[in-house]
Amino acid sequence: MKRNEKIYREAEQRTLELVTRRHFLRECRTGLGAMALGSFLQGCNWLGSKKPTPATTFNVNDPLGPRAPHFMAKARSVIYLHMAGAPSQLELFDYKPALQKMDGQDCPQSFIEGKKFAFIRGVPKLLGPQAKFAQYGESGLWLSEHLPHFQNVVDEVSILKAVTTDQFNHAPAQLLMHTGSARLGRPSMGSWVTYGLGSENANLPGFVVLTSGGSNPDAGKSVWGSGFLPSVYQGIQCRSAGDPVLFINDPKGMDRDLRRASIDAINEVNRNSHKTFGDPETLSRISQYEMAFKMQVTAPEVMNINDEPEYIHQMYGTRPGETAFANNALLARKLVEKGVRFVQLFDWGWDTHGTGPEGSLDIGFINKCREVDKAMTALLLDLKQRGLLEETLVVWGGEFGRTPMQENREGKQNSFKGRDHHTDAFAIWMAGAGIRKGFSYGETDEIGYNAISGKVTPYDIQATILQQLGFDHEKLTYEFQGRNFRLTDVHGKVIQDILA
Amino acid sequence: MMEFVGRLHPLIVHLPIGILLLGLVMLWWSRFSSGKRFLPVLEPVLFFGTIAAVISVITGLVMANNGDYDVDSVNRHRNTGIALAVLSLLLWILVRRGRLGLPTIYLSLSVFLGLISTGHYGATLTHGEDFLFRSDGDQSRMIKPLPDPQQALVYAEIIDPILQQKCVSCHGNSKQKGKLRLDSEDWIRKGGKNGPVVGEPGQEAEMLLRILLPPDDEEHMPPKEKGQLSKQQVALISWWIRTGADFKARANALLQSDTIRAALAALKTATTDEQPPAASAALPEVEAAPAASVEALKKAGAAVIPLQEGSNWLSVNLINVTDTTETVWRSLLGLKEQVWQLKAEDIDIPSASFNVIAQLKGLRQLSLADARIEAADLKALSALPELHSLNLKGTSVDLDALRSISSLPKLENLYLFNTAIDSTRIGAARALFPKAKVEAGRYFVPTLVSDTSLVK
Repeated sequence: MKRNEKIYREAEQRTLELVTRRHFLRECRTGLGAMALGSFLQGCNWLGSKKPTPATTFNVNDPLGPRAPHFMAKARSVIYLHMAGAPSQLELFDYKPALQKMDGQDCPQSFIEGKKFAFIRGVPKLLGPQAKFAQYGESGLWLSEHLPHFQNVVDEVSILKAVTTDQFNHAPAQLLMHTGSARLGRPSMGSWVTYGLGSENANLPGFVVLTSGGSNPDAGKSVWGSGFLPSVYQGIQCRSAGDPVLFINDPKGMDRDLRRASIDAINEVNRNSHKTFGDPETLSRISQYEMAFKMQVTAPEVMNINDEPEYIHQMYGTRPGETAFANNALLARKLVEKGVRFVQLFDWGWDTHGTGPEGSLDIGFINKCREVDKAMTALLLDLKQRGLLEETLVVWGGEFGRTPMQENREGKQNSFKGRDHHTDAFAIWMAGAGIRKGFSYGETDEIGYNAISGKVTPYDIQATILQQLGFDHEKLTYEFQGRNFRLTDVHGKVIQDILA
Repeated sequence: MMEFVGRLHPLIVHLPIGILLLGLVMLWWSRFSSGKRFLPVLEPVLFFGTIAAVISVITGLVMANNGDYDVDSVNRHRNTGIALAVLSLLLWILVRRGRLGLPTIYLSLSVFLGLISTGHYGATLTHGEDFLFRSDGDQSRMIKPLPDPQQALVYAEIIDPILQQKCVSCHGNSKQKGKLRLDSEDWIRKGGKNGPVVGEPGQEAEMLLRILLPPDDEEHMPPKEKGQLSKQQVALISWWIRTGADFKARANALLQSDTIRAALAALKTATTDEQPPAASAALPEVEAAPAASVEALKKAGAAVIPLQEGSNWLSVNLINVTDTTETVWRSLLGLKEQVWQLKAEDIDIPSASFNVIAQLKGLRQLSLADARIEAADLKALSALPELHSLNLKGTSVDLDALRSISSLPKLENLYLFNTAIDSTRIGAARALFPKAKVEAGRYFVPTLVSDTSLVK
């Protein structure tokens, strides 16, 4: 590898040119002291402590190599469908006839005293359900008319109706849902899962993110970030229209051998750099070059939904060439079929305050339901017929719920029917991979304001997802800044009642 | 301040026990020549032991005032404790005067007896009457199954056993925390420091409030660190209290919800105590797979993963195997005992390879989805003893091939989507596997007008 050596020499030369004796003296005074102290302390093995071995160690040379879970897993993969903006549980899953009777009345003081809302001020009016409800399936679960397709698969899912959170703004609530903390800096669920389990398909990323609805979620890319985990575990966002990954084809005149040779050379340089500086991010960079090279072959095939038969396209209601939730749902199934561990879908546009027709419960909200209803139903059925629903956990939900009151921004009734952000009760559903079928868990009070039984938190949902993947959520940890961190922090209880 | 001094009692009592015992052993030993060396320190040891005993008595007297305990038991403990302090004081005086004769030895024996009995009565107050001789599986503390729960006396046969098991150790005869006893009807009616526990009609009962609080609430009962009530037990107690806390009624006389009916039915077979779910499933034992075979498979592009941490059972996915040559299958044969799951999807599987799969006798889940196979080769799989899930989606499987594997003893799930088994043949296929769920798919999601139109 003469050529590589030459490049490396050159890189080394450049670095050395920048480092002088003065640099050493100026930059390294405190560093030298600290290093000396550190090695003294380590040398004496003070307090007789053995360096704790992390619960899950990761192989620096093969960070995405598949690994065993703590115990036999029910789920091999997860598809998490996040409706960014928070859909209204009162128009979809949580049927409240009593709220209808109280429509237009002032909200009782007991509900609003001492509470803080994102936009509601003063005394708002209660708003009855803006949908007709009926019972469906053998399980007889209540669903609204806005999900005419989902009605047919309700016997496959568990609906959690008493989910609570403590964040009433989109970004922190999304972060809490996906990283276990309302503040930035923690790894997302998909990162934890790929860190713990690796990925079975070495030619595809283990954690893929797809977005639709015209915008990224409010919390930005941090909701699929890797936080303090090595960045090789962060979610790979693929484009939903056009080429899934930019620049995936080699430029004209560059053949695959030359590409291989150049990546080898770059990786060699990086490996030497890692030997010198020991920065783990250099290893991430190496494996990402490798992954990119492999994806040049695999991604165009897997990421392309056009090869799917017409029957499948009709089932999902895809819109080829556009950015659509349906396309992403189909892509999610293809990725899971090819061994991708965690697929995260975000669909934006569910924030129905009632300030305009787009965000109103009787116009924009219904259109959002129409965009996802057919596709999410098709996704469940398609996974089922392929034998994948047995080993794929599907989760659907938002970051919080919506108030039983009509929003009155600045004390004035909004011009359209809408609801404010609500933290005390909302609904999500889960299906597949050992989740109970046709089951409703948790109840809210008569107007759907507070959870009265089966109350769960985002941590409980995270613990349950990890449990189905074969993890004890208290043991999947990573040592950072001197202590072990985990997704559920110090919280989380597996929701045993929804496990079959 | 006084309360604080009182609460130090359980800590301080250990000092006289240790110091006085040490003194006694030294005193007895000093009767022999080898023990003469202890004589110089004997007096100071007994001195400190006596001081510790006196302090224990003082803190104990302060603590006894708070009244959480049975008066008789407290009195017994107090009397023996005071006696012990007096006896050890006498012993110290005798030893200080250099009297090491027989009377001193007799006195030391009575100090010893005082130590034992005071300690025992004290421990009874803290740990309950039967602490010493109770084993964890003790029948008297277990809840016995009921032959006919609907006919059972609700309080005597259902609620009382739960209270005995989870509550009475702190709210019983010897310990009466919060001046509350839950060991008989009269005491329950009487209530505790905070008033009645089962409440008057139409009023929330204190006991109900306490057991329904979240476990980390300070007021929650039983306390966080003690044995908790199971969900069923909470449901049964709430039901009993909400229906009026009748001490004489039989179960079928009270109004029952579905949850209660189920909880009652469960009393027939098992106890109301649920077992915590086992974290890792117990898998049958199997030897470790030969490392060479595992390595060869990994090198060929397969994912070979232990089923769970520390298990020898393997999950094998031939996902990145591009070149399915002889070596892959030969390596797989090396793992014939250990493979639990096998995914051989979307690859060519030659006839000879089926003989390899047929030898994987521990195989539970097999997916050949979209694999290029000869339908007739499937016959080889008919003897897999443990196979319970078989995915043949997108293969050339036909009815004849299905017939050849219809004897699979444990098959539960069979996937036939995208095969020649279409809607006209699925009935015949299902008839071949009466015990299994046969999934042919081909689901149809109609396109409604609303799917392609917008509300304006």
